[in-house]
Amino acid sequence: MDILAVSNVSKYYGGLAANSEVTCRIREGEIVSLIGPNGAGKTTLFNLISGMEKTDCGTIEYAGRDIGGMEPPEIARLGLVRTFQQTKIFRDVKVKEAVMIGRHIHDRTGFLGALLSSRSARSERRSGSEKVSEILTFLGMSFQAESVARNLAYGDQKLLGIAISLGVEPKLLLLDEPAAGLNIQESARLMEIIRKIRDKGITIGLVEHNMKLVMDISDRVLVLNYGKLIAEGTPGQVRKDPGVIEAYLGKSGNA
Amino acid sequence: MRRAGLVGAISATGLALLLPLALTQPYLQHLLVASVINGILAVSLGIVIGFLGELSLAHGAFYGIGAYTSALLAKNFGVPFFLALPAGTLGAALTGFLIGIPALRLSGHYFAIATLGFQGIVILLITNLVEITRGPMGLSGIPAPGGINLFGGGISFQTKTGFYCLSLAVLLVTLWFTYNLMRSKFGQGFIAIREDPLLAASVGIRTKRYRLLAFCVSAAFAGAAGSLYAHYTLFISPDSFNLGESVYIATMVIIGGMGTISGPLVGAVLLTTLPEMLRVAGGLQFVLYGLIAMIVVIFMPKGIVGMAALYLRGQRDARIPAPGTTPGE
Repeated sequence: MDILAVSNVSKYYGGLAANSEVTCRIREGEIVSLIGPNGAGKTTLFNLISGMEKTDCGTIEYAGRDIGGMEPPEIARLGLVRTFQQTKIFRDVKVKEAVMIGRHIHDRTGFLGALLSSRSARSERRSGSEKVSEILTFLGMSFQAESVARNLAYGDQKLLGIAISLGVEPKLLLLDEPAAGLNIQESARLMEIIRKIRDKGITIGLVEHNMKLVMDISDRVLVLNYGKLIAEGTPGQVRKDPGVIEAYLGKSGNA
Repeated sequence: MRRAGLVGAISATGLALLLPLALTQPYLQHLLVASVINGILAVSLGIVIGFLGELSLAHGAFYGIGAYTSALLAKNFGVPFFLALPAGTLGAALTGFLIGIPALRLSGHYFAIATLGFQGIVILLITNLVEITRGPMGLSGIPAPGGINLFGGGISFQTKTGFYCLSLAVLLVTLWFTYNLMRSKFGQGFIAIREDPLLAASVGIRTKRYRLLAFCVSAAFAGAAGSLYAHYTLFISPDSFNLGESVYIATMVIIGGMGTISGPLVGAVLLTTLPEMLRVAGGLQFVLYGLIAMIVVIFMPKGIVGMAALYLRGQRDARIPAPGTTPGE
């Protein structure tokens, strides 16, 4: 079943088509990577799907529901969560608090209950922090729970970004260049984590330049160039596709 | 940890209750009341400045709206103080809601300028609606709060000591609500928006609603402070709620320490009492006052409480292994 269906989506910045009639699907439970040269429109597509920018035309359906024109918080509440290319974390709070903020929508405390710190508000907070510990253990970060986010090493900050998004309990998680700037060991660890996330039943959309990671992990790969989808298939198929080779390496022969 | 905090809070309250016994001069007791009212103002503005991360220059206006609402109800309609106080609170919250909707479409400097404009409008309204507010002449003859009977014994709020206890109770409620709110998902949402609005939205926090909520709660407490002020001085005029007042409250928050609850309280008490403590310096009184404010801002960018917390944390960190030597690494 398709969890996400993007149909004929276009986005223009002035005369530049950042996305031009992109049509693609993500099926439930798979890991789909979106690759393409710099400026191909990968992040733009993520921004459109997550509601951070509005499409100029075309429709985006998530779990059978048109989410075009919805605000980002409402989309996140449906279980479609994205991370950011530039590491975004809540810098001045502790790691466990940052993940707790990620769990925001699952806290059922009402305003009056919060003001009076009612019994139910306290039990919501307790069960929330149990979930936070689970997430941190899952990512192997429990020993950093009390650290202030901005003091984490770069790789751990990227991981915290994922931890925060897992707090939302997404059904579809879009990761925007999670491996950017990571060394080989860290990338390998990240790959394991992405697999483990998928094994929990979370569908994954991935924008990534690290080709080893993409080819090893993806069920399917989509290739964008100049805003257009130019190829789609298994990693093996995409690797041999002449159009993809041309997009990355240029035309062969009569150059 | 929590128990230690509770014990601290209770002993601080006990100490605050004993203060009027030690400071028997009427003027010193007046300073106590002023410190408490300023404390409510600073703690509530701290929600917007410190936790939401926006500079509001309209807190004086909300303070004034609370004061005039409460005073006019009591004076013209004979509404008892204990109903006029919540009315002033609600009036300020409602105004905060109406102003917040357009103003909070902006952020950063633009938001500060918008609140500045609102502050000016409120003062102009109070000054020019002479039939209602008596304009620049000020509103006098505001009834003092009636006493209450408890277990046969009467408590009067017309003495300075009595009013001090009353305003202290409002301050405690303000602190307790703010503390609870900031620990809840609402307060954590405010902090998330301050840290990164885009990331906050992407985890499902309805940022527009939350910014409005923070602004309204902050305005509500300012309204309560205004009501207290009106029924304490029994005379109010636009001068008490002007831009200067707004800046003064913001200074308390910044000097005390943004992003904490205790910081603004410390700042309020300090800025209220410091001029008096500096009286011994004679003509240099306000020179020293300015100097101290500058020193705090330059050398303690996180304010007095922020600096103290940093110092205490340093002491604690010296006892636990430094990062990087964590066992298991």
